[in-house]
Amino acid sequence: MNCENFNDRLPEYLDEALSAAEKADASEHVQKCGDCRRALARHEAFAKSLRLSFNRETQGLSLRPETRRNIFSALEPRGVLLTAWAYIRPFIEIIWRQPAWTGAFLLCLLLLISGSIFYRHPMKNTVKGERNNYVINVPLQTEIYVYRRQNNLVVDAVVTGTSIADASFSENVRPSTSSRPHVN
Amino acid sequence: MAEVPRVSAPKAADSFDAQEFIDSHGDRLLRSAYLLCGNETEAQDLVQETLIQAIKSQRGFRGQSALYTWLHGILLNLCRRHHRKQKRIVYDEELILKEICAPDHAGDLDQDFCATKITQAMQQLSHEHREVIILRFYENMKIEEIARQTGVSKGTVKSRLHYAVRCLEQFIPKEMNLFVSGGTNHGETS
Repeated sequence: MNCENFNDRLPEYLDEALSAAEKADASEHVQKCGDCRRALARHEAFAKSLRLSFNRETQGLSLRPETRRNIFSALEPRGVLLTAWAYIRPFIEIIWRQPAWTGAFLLCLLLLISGSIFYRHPMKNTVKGERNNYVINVPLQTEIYVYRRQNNLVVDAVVTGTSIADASFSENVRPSTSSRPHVN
Repeated sequence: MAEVPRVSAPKAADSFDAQEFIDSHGDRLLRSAYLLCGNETEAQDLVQETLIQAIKSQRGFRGQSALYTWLHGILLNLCRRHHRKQKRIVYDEELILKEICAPDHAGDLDQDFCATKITQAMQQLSHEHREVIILRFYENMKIEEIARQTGVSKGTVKSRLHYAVRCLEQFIPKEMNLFVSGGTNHGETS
């Protein structure tokens, strides 16, 4: 074991967490190496000084009577209303302290809820409840007939001209009208 | 602090004596909390909250560690939460350093002065560094136990400990000679 390894393993050496072989190596190294012996002594002196200082600094501290009282009062069983109030109270305190932020939050919440209620997707505007509903407009040439009438009966029809109009085809609207073109 | 006896886990709510529980662990937790946050009032509040949480959730203690270790884990979590809330307060570090390292008391270094200076210097460390120093040198935990308690690897604990000691060395007046055996001259009397 060299000095670098020993310094790396120093915490485990002090914890006695090294394996027997590693511990023997470390002990042997400490006996031979003056620098590491000094580093070990330095570390132990530091640890001892800290422990003593911490103990001295905290030796007069003990739990205050009011802390004990608070603990016991927090552990006493409460009624339903008191328990509910204990949960609600922090929220009321927040509202009281930060009215502007609370207002902004409520406004955002209101916008979000109203948006989710009133927003309608454009694809859903034809027939409610059906998907893939679409309309195709196709230009269609039609002929204009003039009918000759005799005793309220049509006896002949003569083509006098043609016109182009849009024919609409819609899918999934109703089975009866889906395949029939509607001429505008 | 290692000589404080470890009390076995409370078995059931009816046989559980809260008064005894608080008497056994309250003061020791308070001292640790004081070192962690550096303020007695905050330490009292933190220990109060720790004991309330522990007594309410006593069934959550499974006996895998000592009862005090479990309590200290709750305290550490509360301290971290408290520390995050306090983070917004900005201190003038240079001013504090001048105050800590002022040599005007160097001539009459006594035990209380050393203890106070070390506690003040502890407050200059980051929360993580302070945590490992206290767990290692006050709670006398092994590296493995600290790793389990703080939820980080053993390598991280060793690294934090190394840097924490170096930082502490910078903040403590050199006249105190902490790194020399008997340097603070208060070892024998305590």
